Amino acid sequence: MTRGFTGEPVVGPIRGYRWWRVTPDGWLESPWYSHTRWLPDRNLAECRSPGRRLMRRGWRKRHPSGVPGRGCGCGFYGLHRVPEPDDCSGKLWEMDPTTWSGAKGFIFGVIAAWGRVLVGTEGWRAERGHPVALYVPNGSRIATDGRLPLVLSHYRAALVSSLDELTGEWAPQGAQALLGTVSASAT
Amino acid sequence: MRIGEIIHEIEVLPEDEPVLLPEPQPDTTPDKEPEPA
Repeated sequence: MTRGFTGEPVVGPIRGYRWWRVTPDGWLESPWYSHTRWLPDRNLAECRSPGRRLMRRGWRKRHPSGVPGRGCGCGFYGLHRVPEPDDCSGKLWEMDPTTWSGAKGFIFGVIAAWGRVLVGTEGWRAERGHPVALYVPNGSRIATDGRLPLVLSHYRAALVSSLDELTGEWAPQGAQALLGTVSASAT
Repeated sequence: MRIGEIIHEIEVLPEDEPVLLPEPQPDTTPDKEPEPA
C-alpha cells in the first residue's frame, strides 16, 4: 500500500474515460502536457511540475503522500462520463469523441487505474494505469493511415468502433459507486 | 481536464495483488484477578 496513505482501500482497478495522442509509430502518449509514452501494462505517474526541483519543500507540501498530489494537477486522469458535445467549449479534454477520436492523432478510450487515487466529482487522478479499450471509428484517419495496426501491436487494449460499445462494455464505475465501495468496505 | 472537486482519496489494489491485512495481535490484556471472597 502507498506509503503515508490515509484513505480507504478498494480491490480491483477502476476505470475512466480519457484521451491519448498517437505517435506516427503507433505509441500512445499523454496528449496535452507531458507527452509521456504509455507502456502496455504498468505506467507509473510522475509529477512534471518544475517546482519539484526548484522548491522541494513546497512540492512535498503539495504531495505529502506522493503522486497524485491534492494541491497539484499530476497523476493519470480519468473521467466518470463521456464528454457531451455541449461540453466542447474550447476545453481540451472535453472534445466530442464521436468527432475527434481516431482523427488527427487522438484516441478516446478507457483507462484502468490503481494505486493512490484522488476521486473528484467529474473524474479522478491516479498513480498507476494502463489503456484497456480504444475507440477508433471505422474510416477515421488512424484506422486508414496505417497507425491502427501499430497501436494494436503495442497494446492489449480492446478495439471498439462504436461509442455505444465503449460505454456499454467498458463504462467507468463512477464516483458514487467508488464511494459506495469504500463505504461498504469500511463497514 | 478537470476532475471537479476532490471528494475522496482511495487506494486501489490491482486484482492480481494479494490483499495484505494486518496480522491479528495476541491479546495481551492481563486476566482479571478473581475477586477475593
